[in-house]
Amino acid sequence: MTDAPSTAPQNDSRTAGHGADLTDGAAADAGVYGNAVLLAGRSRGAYLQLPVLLLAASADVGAFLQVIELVMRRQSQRVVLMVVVGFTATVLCLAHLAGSFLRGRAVGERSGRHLAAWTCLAVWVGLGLVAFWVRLVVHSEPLTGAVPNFSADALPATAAEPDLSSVLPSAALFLALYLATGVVAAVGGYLTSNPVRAAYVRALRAYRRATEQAAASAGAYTGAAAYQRMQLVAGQNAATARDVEQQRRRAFAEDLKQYARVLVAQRAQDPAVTDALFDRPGDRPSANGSRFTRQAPTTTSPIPGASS
Amino acid sequence: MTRRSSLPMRLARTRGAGCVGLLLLAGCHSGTRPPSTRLQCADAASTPLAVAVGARSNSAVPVLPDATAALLRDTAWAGQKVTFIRVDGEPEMTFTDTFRSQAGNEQARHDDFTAFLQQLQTAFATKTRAKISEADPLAALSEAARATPPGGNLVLLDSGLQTMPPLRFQDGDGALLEAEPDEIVTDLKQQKALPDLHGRSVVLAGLGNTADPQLALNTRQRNNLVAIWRAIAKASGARCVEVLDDPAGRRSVAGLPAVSVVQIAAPPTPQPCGETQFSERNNVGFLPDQADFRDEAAARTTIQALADVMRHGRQTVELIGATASVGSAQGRRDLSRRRAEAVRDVLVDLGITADRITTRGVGTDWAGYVPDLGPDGALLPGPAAENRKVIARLSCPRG
Repeated sequence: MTDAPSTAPQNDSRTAGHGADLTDGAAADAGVYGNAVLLAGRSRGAYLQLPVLLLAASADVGAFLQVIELVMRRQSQRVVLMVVVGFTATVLCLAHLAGSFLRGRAVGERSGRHLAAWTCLAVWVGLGLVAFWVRLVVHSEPLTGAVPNFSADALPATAAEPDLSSVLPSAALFLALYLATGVVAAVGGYLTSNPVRAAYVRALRAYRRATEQAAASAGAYTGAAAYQRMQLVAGQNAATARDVEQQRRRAFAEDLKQYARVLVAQRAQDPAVTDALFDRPGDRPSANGSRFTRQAPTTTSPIPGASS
Repeated sequence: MTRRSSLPMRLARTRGAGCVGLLLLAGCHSGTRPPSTRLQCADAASTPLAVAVGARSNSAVPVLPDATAALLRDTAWAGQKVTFIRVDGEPEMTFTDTFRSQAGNEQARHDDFTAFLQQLQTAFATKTRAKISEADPLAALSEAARATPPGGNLVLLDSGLQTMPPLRFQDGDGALLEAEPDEIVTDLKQQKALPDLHGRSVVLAGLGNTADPQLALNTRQRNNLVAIWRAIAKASGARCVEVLDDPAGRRSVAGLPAVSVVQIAAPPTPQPCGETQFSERNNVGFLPDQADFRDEAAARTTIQALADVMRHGRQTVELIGATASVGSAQGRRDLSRRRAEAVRDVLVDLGITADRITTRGVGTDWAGYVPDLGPDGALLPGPAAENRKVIARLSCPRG
């Protein structure tokens, strides 16, 4: 029961992949997704992608936060943070999906993923450009905690609009970070996307679940079967006892009938009656297998516990 | 008004939220607040602040010292009123505002605050410039006190050389610079000219920082000027007084109304034959009502010059003591004589034989006496300082 998972799902993975994800392109699983033997695990790069993505997401949060705070001036810090996290998740998801869809296209899938991939890319680029523009336009002097200069003959230097050269570097860095994290997410999506493996993982998971359920129910089943067997034996024993008792009681009834005939014959004192009573065909044997022997009635009742 | 947490705390909180996982982003500075000199006196930023700024002629370009600039910034951040007073011939309030922000998050609030700080800086640079000739820091201090309730903080940023009554430092060739601070306070009290500073913390900055054409003050004059203003602030009921001594250049804000120059006479040097006056002006000053030098070492250095002149000649010297109009006439003569004898003792100690020296005290009965009593009989500190001196008359042998 427990030795099946290592082989059965792997053997079925290709068909599972067909059924679940690869609706078309039979060459796909045989080609790029190919080797079913390699489907059992993930590469080191796939595991490395997760922390890299998390770091990239935190970097994006840091980069977006200041901008969104300035754009949404009236909103509280918590709301701004929620927006930033949501925005970050959205752009990273878009990049990741674009990578996945492009991978599907690379292996020859002919569904609507081509359009989806370019749509995701376009939206991702659009959001990045908007964020870059906002970063460029919405400028904020960082409050560093330095003591401001108060002089009677010097106006503050930042009273005028900041020129492009002062804000462009930070905005460019912001855009570079956006592109970098997006590329990380997209490349990760491209390299780790494998519908066959996904189907395999699903099947493996379902098989493991079923196996665990079977293992959990096996004990209960064994107990129930033993109980059933015990009930069966008890039933058979009861039937046997019932048959014996029935036989015994039938014999006793026959004895009583015979006894009644004797009494009737004694009372009648008529041979004809006696013959009629005893010489009938089909008379049943007594309980001990002998024919009833005529005996003088005794004062003792044959019925246990009854008085004459 | 809602109470806000301190600015450094806000900064730390914002940085913590904004710098998650990334320290290299532009606008995400990890620098901490640079250590600035904290004020001993006016350290509470949770009360209104008024700054009297002497952007005027003869006074160095006013620049708030770091400690007071930090106080101003923190006061604004705390949502307290900030007021600027113009120091000139007729001081008046030229700017007052309170920082308010409708921002819902820290960054936006900081952005608003940065704009407010720039507004303050602009007002400081443009609205504090003198419009009326002469300078009246005392009235400016009074205006600042009016703009700030008890418990608030006042900053006076000026050279402190007032040229308007009741403190005309330009009179008597800057005699007030030699005057006793207590006598000046007494005089101001009698004139009911002290501002009401009760409950306020007062910070004095820039005192003695003069600009051309006003001559620079020497250390003694500067110290006495500081002592005068400190005494005035204390006598006016200030909760505490702190003096910041920040150096400044010799340049004033250009194109402003004129202010009288306080003429500071050069200290007299002994002539081989003739008269030399020893007074506070050349470090031979005495403690009030005593014949003890205020600074014996400095006095000895000055008198050394006289001794050098006499050592190379055969002159005799008559030391004539004079005093201000304090006490009885006999008392004044006694005091002035003892002061002349004090100078004589130094000369003898420096090697001049006693038979070449004669002393006498004239009190206020001498030709050079400057009237030092007002119409109501009150002592005038400036003239009184001029009268406190010892005159050395060197007589050269005939032939």
